[in-house]
Amino acid sequence: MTIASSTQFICFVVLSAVVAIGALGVVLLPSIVYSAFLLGGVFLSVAGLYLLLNASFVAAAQVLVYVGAVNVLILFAIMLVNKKEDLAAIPGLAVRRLLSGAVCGGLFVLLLRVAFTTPWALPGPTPIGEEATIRIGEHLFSDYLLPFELASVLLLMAMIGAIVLARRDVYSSDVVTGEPADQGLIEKSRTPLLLEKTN
Amino acid sequence: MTIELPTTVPLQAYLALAAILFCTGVWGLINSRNAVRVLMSIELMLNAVNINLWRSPATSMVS
Repeated sequence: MTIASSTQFICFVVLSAVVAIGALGVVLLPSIVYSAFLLGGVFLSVAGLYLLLNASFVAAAQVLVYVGAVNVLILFAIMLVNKKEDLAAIPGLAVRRLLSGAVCGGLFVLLLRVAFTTPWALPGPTPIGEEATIRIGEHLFSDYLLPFELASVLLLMAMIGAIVLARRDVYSSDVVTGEPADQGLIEKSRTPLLLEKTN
Repeated sequence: MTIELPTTVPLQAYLALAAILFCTGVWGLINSRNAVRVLMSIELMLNAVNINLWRSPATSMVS
């Protein structure tokens, strides 16, 4: 075993241990802020796994999109809606968790059986390495142009929808009486999520 | 003289890792009572699927 392959094995073992333990921490920790930061660690380790698989562009996209956007979005959501609510106790919660754990363990055994008994066509196609970025760009602007543009239109629709939903001063009419109702007043009658500045 | 040794991490190791990640995500999806934690579990499952998709044989760095 050469030093390169043993380095690869050591990197894989360390990264997969970080991924597995981090994922368990994400679902098991009681504090959700710790869970969010552990989720960032899991995303970074998955990016390291992509690097190990000669997919450097995907690793960079994983760091940019998941760590930079999704994880930060989740952190914003946690910090904005930081409401301590006392959930009602469910009878037999531990039994339910054990049952669902057994179900997930069965699913895991099934997936392992599929992974180890299927005759995979090894080795697969040869990796193209650094040319992958060029190839992805060519495909995006030639034969995958329509899905690319459709995705951008979808994102634009989501952004406009978020702006419309976030506007507070929209006047709408009451359903029963038909007279105009101030939606801002309706919103203010509920518990505000953010403390408003009083002056 | 060359001895036949696995020079790369086998495919089944990646598949098993993705299975671990996916099952953890499913467990969290079932058992979490917080909406944000449900989102985080869904992200875990999506990443597991991405690990499955992006398996390509790493070039042997040995010569």
